[in-house]
Amino acid sequence: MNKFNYILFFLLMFFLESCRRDTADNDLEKNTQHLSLSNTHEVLPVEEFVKWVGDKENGLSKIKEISEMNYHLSYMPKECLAYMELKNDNLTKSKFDETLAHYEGMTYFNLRIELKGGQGELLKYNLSSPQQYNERINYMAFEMQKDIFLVQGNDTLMPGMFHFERIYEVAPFATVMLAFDNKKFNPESEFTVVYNDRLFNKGYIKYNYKQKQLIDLPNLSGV
Amino acid sequence: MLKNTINVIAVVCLVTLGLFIYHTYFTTKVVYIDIPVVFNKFEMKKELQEKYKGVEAGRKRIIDSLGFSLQLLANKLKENKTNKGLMYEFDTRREEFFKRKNQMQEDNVALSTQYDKQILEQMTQYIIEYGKKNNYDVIMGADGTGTLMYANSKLDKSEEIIVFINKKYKGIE
Repeated sequence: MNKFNYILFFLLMFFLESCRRDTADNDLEKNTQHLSLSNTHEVLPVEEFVKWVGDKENGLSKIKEISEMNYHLSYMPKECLAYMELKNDNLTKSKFDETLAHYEGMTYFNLRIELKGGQGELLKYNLSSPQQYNERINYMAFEMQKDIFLVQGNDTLMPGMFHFERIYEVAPFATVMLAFDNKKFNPESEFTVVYNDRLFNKGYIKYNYKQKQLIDLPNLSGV
Repeated sequence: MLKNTINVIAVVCLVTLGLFIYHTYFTTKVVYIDIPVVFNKFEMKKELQEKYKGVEAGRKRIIDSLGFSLQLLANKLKENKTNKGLMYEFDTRREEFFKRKNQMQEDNVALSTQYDKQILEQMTQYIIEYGKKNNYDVIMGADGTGTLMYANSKLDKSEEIIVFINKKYKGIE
């Protein structure tokens, strides 16, 4: 009986020791897992594919937390955009393929600026004067695109498409959609998307995408 | 004999387990960083410093150019002291020169303050994330002003933090 207890004790020790892993090792393991997941080219239905892309664990949707703000940058594959456009309609293969064709040639991202635990409209946060609200709206609609760019090697590329999604209801976040012309950079190589935040004065916010990260996606099983 | 060996191993394991539990749950993990070193090696600081130098040099060129043309005007005035029109022009341009110079100095200070704020905000955020990731309870900042009088250099995480915050800034981590 005593020996049994000792063995049990040893097993407990091994268990505890195995739990006590260095966080860095855990992260490395996690990264390897993600890499292997994306490299398996698993086949997913379109709804699952959209969820997979939005899952931060898979590295396509990134978040940067700076003080009271969260900055989310999400890569939006054309399949996601087509699905979002059609999900409330009758989603058929032909319609899906047709919509998909509209999004060819560009690499799309969604940038969402969010006030952490915030209430009320983001653009009304910490206003120094009433007219600053209008200035912020104008900035987001017309000026902000000059503060977002993609860096690949020594090249800097400005967005070929930019759209501020104006939310008239009270929401503690603001979203912009942007896209870069695939002819002007290589989406398969490493690049960094940079946003110079002049809205809340947080400076350069960078998001790095590794080589082949945008193409190592699960396959669609069909619509 | 075997029983004794097992007993000894069991005691050793028990002590190890006790130490492990004590170390994990009952001790405060404190490390420190050398703030000036971390600040100066932060990529964002290097980038914004370069940007600031560019802006400052551009403004200096404008002021130098205004100063040079003012100097030319002063030389003209020396040769023609009775020319009232020239005197008026000189006064106006001298006033404009000092006004622009003061304005640009103020703008330089404002830009430097703005960049410092941005750098410190991001640096602080990434250090918080480093602390959370590595389960530290306290990260102290040594800045040579006596806030941290002594600490074993083994607790100095400056270099490790520099690597971490630069990866965070570049969006790699």
